[in-house]
Amino acid sequence: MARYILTRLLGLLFVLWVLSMITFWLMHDVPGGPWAYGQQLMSDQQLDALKIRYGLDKPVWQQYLIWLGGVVRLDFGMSFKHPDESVMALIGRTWPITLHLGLLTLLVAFGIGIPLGIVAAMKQNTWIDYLATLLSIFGFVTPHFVWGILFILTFALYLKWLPTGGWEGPQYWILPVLAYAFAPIAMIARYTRASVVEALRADHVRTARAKGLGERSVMSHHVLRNALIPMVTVFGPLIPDLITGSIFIEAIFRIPGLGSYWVTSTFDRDYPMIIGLVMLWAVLIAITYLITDVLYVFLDPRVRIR
Amino acid sequence: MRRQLYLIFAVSLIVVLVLAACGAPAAPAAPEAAAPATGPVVNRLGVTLPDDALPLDQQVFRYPSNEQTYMTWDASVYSENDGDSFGWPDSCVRPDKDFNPQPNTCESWSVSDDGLTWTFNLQQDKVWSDGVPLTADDFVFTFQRFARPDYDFEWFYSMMGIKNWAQVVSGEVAPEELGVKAVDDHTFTIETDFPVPFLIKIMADVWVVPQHIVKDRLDDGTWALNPENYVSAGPFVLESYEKGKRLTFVANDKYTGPYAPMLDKVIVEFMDPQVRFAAYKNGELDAVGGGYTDDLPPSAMAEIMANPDLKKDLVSWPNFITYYLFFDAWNAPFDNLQVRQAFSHAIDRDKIVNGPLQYQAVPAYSMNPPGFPGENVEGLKDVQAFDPAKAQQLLADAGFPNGEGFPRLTLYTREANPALTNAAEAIASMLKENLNLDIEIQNLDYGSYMDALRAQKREKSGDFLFALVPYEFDFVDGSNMLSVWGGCEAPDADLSLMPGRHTWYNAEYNSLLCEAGQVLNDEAKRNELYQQAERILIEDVALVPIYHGIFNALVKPYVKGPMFEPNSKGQVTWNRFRFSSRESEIYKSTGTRE
Repeated sequence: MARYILTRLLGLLFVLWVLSMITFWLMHDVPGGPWAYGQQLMSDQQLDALKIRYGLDKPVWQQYLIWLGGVVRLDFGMSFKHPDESVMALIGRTWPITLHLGLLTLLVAFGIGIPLGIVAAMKQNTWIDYLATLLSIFGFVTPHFVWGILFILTFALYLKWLPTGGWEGPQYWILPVLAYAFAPIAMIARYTRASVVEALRADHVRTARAKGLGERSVMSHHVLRNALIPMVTVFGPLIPDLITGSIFIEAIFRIPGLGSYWVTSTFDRDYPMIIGLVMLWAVLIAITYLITDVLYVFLDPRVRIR
Repeated sequence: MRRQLYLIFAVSLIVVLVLAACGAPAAPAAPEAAAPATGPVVNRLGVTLPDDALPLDQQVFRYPSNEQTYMTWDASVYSENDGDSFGWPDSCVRPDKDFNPQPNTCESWSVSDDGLTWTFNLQQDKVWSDGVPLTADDFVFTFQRFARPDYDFEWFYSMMGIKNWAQVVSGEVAPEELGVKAVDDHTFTIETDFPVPFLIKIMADVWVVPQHIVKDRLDDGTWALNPENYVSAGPFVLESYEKGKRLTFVANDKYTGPYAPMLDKVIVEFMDPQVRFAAYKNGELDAVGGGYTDDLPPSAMAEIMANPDLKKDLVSWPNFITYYLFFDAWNAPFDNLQVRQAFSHAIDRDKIVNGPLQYQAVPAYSMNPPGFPGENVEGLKDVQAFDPAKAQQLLADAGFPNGEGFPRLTLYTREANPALTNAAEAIASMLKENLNLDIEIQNLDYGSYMDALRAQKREKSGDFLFALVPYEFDFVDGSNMLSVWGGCEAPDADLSLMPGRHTWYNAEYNSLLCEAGQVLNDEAKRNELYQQAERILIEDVALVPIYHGIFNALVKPYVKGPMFEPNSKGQVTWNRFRFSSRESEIYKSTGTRE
């Protein structure tokens, strides 16, 4: 097992290396640059001076090697947009807020989605099931920024219960978490329902019932445990997605998190920030998949890692 | 059954969240009725507020902005945070409501008879917020800073014609050689290469840099982000910068200038433009809208006009901005005047202004907007008047009957807001309808647009033909907006290095602008020359002006003060662009505005 994890981690390093080269080349290849701002043409001297100052006058491969040299020492460079902060410091400042939002969202999404899916599966083809399905479809097809705006209109402007945005305390968390959680709730509920329905039909469940096991015991030992395996595959990638934030949610609710940087760093041509974020994302995805694979071993005795 | 516990759990989770919502303290509310008055309110500068003022702890004014990179102008003017007009290094002069320069840090000034030497006298007892005196050396240093090659914005200071400016910018001579000199602690002079009659108007945009702080940090524009280094010369001083959230400014108790504030604090809340209107309606802001990146969206305008409660908060006034189509007049097909004329007659500005841009614009037929010095809005309005039959005839005369054989065009926009996108779409459909031309619209971000514009002018690449962009004035003088299209030519300059940003050239236009620049102390005479030049611009269709912007802002009715007194044209303006002394001219009242 340890050997397996080690091999996977080494593979990850290789993937990150290739990905960093592609990203580095792509972002420098996009027209425009961090200082192509303003309406009047900047003089060539000014532009050159800025390029020299930030090392952008060198060929891209040299810039890449310099960057790589820094990364080995965990130095991802300074953000162009926030020149008083390193990329690491900027992520360190904003990511905890996004994590906070993401983890609350995960809690709510699983807390509502899984019970909703289980209830729908057990009451298959009843009004409860249909209602859960209807809610899920609504959650799926409506983007979270639409929920966000609807919630602001309802709970802030109409009912005056909550602020329209900000990140100052618990009352500021409620609307963004709910808006952000809607789609994951729907997804979790749908997959949970499908998995549980399938597990309920399995022969061993019928056997368990036949030998007189209580409903609770059947559900927890025979149905849910088996239903969990396909769910882990689907839900794993949801986690990095939610904990890296959403530009829409963070913009609509004025949350000073990481979410907006995924987009603004590209517009600003903030090269160190762009590649720092791509690396962060890649690591999160890779680790999530690794954990998912390892979890199989514990959930399904048939899976063995060699 | 027990499995129902899951459902109960889910429901109770929702209930708990909702209850938490109800129990939580509500959003920061608008000021309630004032506590019983216990005498006049006096702020930390010793300024006595009007009788109807709210208590000092409620004299906190909140408005929204986008978060930017720097805290002052001395590194970049393109990415400085809000607060420049009240909580930062202060300006030399400050325009009044009619944009006439008034003393600020510079108490008085004079110009020599030959127009080449300006002398400025500083306010004597002016200090930075750390107690260090503000002297003429700070101004000398400021100009040297602006001229340094690594400063990203020198161009409207370059319009001042300061001696040795270009040589310092290009690094040929040392910054000390610049034609700005300190005579004594409170006097400095500016020498120019040629008379610059409007120099004093640009001085409104000269924001003095604290030499004692910045001289050791020349390569680093971030000095002011660190509260330890931060100093202000303005009416307010930075109290805190919560990244991603807000800037809090507090009245500067060291301030002795002519714009002493009444407010105790100003809070700049960082938020995206789309969410500001909701925050205003929920009482989380005291004002919203009225800026170039901050104007109220069309949907908000429709709601405001239909809601009498909101409508009474509305303040509207003209912006000095022109949205225009430009061409590549150096390459086919737009090197043909008839083609450009055809375009100019094919666009129904009234329809655009009454449709997608309702409440946000007036039709434009000239570069200079209404109310701008030297404008000739009335005189030029027929030159490019809407006339589809004439447009078709002109296009046919140019060799493209009914649009046949005309290349497929892309109409570019630059980081377009929804209103601009709507206008671009309307223009495309009018060109289709009236000239049978197929136009595709493409929005570019700033970087890509600037690259393309640069290539078009410098390399005459001819692959970036046609765009709809705004130009907002830089200083309020008849020369300013016309300078987009030309200026004094350098001897033997190549076409790609001609003054102006676009690929359009007219020798007579340039010589008129140049001649006007020699006229001293006679603004009327200068404006006459600018009018002649602008006529060439419009008749030769360097551009097709589409609309001039209108600013709309909502200001809570409890905000009062001299800011709301109208100017000589009867206009109430809720800001005067970045020169505004707005934060010094308002307070929060127990009553409401008229």
